[in-house]
Amino acid sequence: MENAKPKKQTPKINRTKLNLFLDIALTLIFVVEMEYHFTGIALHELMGLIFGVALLIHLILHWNWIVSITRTFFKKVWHESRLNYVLNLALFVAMFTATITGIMISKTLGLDLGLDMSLRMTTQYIHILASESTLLIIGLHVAMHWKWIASNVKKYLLSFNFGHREQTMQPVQEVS
Amino acid sequence: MNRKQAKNRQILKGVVIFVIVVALGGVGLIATGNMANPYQATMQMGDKMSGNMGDRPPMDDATAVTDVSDEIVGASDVSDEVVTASDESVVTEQQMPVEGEMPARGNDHSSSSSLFDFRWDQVGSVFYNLWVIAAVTVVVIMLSYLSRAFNNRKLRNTHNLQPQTSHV
Repeated sequence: MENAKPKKQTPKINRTKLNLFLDIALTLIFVVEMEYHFTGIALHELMGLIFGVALLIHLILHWNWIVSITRTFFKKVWHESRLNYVLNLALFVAMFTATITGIMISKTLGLDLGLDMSLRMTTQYIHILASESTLLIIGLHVAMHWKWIASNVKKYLLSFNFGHREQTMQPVQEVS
Repeated sequence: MNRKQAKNRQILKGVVIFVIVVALGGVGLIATGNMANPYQATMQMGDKMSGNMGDRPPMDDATAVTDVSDEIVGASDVSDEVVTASDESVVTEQQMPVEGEMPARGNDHSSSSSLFDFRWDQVGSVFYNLWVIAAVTVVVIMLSYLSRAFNNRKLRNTHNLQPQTSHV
């Protein structure tokens, strides 16, 4: 006689799908919010905050990769992973700088730090420089992962197959 | 043709389509006047900070001023004197290094009032940002293909010069 309770099945999250949609959302938020003349200053600042939160989630989702590469960076990491790591670090620094300086000079978030004119101008300059650098580094970041992006966009967004048999590309192995 | 070759050919086809789309996008951006140096805003800001206003490209603000003054004239029937006065005030507002005002990539307009009040005439800048990402991706993909081809050629030449003789 079996008295065991039926196990409650928790819905499994497709990690790849989650990463793909989050990354697409991050890119779209960034390219839209970068143009504050298009969005207006209030939405620009709000989207900047949303972008900061989405960036944190992205980092949490890739935390294992970050830890493993950080541990083995100077040891036996495959050269592409090392390049990827340096690029991601640069991207993180640029994004983090853009977010923090954006919060510092915000007008509509209700956070007035009382910066004087020259400091405000300098912070603004750093904010623009960081966000424009982020744009270029995102391009490099996308280029490094284009095979993963292409295969998963085809798999999850464009489900039609042009009559071909489904051929999925394996994501690039990060650690040798 | 084996499966790997078919897969490579499919990838190559995708890359070629992507390159064509990016090239067409670039042409479209040039045609609509949205193509600019990604660091233009930074350079303008640097100029503002150093107080070097005269070095800025004459295109942006002059065009913006003309457009705005035209809109003002079109919106209300006023005398020439009033138009001249409003024109001057617009010029002063546009050229003053206002605190908290960041330079735009294209034509500069005043910021929106409500949260979701998008300025659709500026949407070209958003497409420009997307295009920059795509263009950088294309350049890196092309470079990786070129380096792979170069390495393969080098490898083939090395094998031709030093043929394997250790077959037993």
